[in-house]
Amino acid sequence: MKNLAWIILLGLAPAGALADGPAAHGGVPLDTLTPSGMQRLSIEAPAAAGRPVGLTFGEAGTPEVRMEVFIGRDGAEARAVLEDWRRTLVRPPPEAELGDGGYGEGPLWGWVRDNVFVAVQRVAGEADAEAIAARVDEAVKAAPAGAATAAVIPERVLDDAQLGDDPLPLPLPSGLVAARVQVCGPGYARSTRDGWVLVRTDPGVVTVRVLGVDDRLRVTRGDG
Amino acid sequence: MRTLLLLCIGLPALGVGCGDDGASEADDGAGLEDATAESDVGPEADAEAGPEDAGREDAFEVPPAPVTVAPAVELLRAADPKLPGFDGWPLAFDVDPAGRTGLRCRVVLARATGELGRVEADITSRRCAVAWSGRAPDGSWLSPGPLTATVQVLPAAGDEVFAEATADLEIVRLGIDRIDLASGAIGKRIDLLWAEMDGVAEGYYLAERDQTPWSLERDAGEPAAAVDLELADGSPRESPAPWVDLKSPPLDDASTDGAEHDTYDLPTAWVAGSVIDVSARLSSDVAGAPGGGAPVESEVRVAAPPGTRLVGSGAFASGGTVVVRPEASPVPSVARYDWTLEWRFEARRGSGAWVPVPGSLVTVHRLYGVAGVPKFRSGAVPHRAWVEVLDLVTGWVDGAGTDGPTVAGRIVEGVYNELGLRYDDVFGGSAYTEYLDGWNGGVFHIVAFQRRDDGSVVNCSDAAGIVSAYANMVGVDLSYHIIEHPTAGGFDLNYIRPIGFTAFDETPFRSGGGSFSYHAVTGPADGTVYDATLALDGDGDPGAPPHTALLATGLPPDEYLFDLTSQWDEVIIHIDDTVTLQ
Repeated sequence: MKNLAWIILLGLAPAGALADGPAAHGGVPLDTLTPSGMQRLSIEAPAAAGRPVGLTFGEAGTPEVRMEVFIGRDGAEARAVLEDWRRTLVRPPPEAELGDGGYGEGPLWGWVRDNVFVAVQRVAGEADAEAIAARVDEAVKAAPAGAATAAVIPERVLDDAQLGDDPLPLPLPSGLVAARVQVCGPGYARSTRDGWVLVRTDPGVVTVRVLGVDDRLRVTRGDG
Repeated sequence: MRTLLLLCIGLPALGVGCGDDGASEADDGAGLEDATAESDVGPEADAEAGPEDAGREDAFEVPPAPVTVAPAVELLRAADPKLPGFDGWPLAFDVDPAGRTGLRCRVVLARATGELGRVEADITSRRCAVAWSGRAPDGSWLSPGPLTATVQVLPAAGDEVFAEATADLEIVRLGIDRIDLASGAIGKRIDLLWAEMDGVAEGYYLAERDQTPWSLERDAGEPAAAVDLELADGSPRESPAPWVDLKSPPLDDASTDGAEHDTYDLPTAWVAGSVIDVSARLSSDVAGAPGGGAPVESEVRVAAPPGTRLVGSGAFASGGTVVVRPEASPVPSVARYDWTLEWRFEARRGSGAWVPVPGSLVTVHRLYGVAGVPKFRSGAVPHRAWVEVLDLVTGWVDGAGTDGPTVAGRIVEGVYNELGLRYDDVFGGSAYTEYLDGWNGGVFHIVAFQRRDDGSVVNCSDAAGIVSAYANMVGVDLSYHIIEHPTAGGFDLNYIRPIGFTAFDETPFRSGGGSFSYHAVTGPADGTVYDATLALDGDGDPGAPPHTALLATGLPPDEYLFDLTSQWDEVIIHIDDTVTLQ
């Protein structure tokens, strides 16, 4: 029934205006975003489900371009993130003809294309931020339709018997490129070269919640 | 004959060892004078008399007084040649030369298995004093256990033994394999967090406030004979140096959590003024024989390190614990301290006098003094005091004070001057800070900031996030505040010098703009303003040159706004929230 609803909506609604079905873009492939001549230096899961993913790119380990990408369920959600981004600029750039609309000038560009918000900022070096923004917008346009979010990772509740004394590996679903692991209770999560582990600090029940980002920069918040 | 001689010298030996020291010295002095007086009738006097005097039938034959020798009161009965700084085992014997001069002594160290070594010296001031290496003749370590020191008094030339005495000694092993630091009656220890264990972002390692910070222990990868104090070959294990990596704890692939849990010396953090109880666990472990170097026939005690006093007994027992407390707080202010404790020992046998054991254990403990416990609203990791931040902030404050305004002021100065940050003069964009709910719910991405993942160009939200996060970590309660014009969507700027800039400008943006749409600052509950984003023109005329740089380190809000903007009476300061960390 739900799939049928998606089909109907796809037929009737313009891209970016899908409220309950597949979004215009089911994320943007991560590999399509790397500026020419640079490498991805870091990717940071969002602070909360409705916030953008952070990426940095550069050469030889020096960050040169910073990007923020948010895959909204619809255009309105993406535009809300755009306006929030603009609000925290002390001296916002002017409106710009990019995507469905945005702001930008010189080293800083932020816009919405359908259900996707992107910000591109040159933080060092001489890269042409406007050209990079244009290429990223093309990548967004080319991104296929699909679910705007990744499936929620069920929270885990672990008791003393399950935890033991040693750090407990916290395997995450395959395909995640970044994650924010929240631990409630007497313990904390540590990132290691082999993945996340749970370190307990005292006896007691621990709840683990994971906010993940997949390789199309969709966040694990369900309802996609 | 030897037995008889030993019995004879036993009596004067008692005379030397009894009574208080002063009386003994007085007796010794008298004895010396007596000996001098009696030198005429000593062997040398006889020799000077010449052979013609010998055998005179009318002379009254006075037998020469016997030379006596006995262990000195301060003879060290037990020692540990493996103690760092051990520079020889002092062996002292009192000698009554009975008027003879030019005597020498020989001390033979032996066990039932044979001789361990011998040392000779001249006798001076009625004292045979030698120092023995404490090692076998080939330089190798000797195992703990009893041995004897037999002293012989000899003429300058020849091997005639005038007197002989034997003392029982004991080689022991004296060490500390664990030191705990706990807050005493005053103060508090706080948790410490390393943020990048093994170089991994968010590789948090939490050292809780009750965690042992100093340990000496065999590594799992060592041969079975290795123990805490010694390697498998019996050589002493070196004490760890203070761990100074600010990003990661020491690592050990063999441990279940990847951190070193055998031998380490980790820093600790304390509310300034804390009195610290130091608990040292004692060990006499020797290679292949845990506890095998414990004193058996002698008694050993721990001497409180200088500047401390013992709490309870100082008796040395392998596996036991001694507690010392500093006379004054070793962390009196907000600063970084390397606290050195020198642990010495004293030994005696029976009811004899306590004699210092040569050598000592020196442990160095890095202490960070902070203003208070962390002030975050969240109790979850990473909301703790980060080692790298404490090291930075305590360096900035460097003992200037423990009060919130002083510490917060130094943080503002440090962030503004020392971190190599530069204001985003294009758009004033945030690199490391975001707000989840309007201006509320500020999130400071400290993991990314400490790594400078997004570079060093920041805006006011970032500066406010840095200052407040750093302050919160060292116990200063700063929140962030937002300054806005209630209707105009921005406000004009007076002359300011943004972070990373060298000159004042009233239009600091490259576009020529001279206004802020908003501005973020920090401050405590009293409303004063702390701002590391910019220096104000504090000469009373902020709208015109010349300029007097003024950092807001506790400025009253009205003064701050007057210097910041010509619209000082129109803008408002609102929002009072504490950043969360990610």
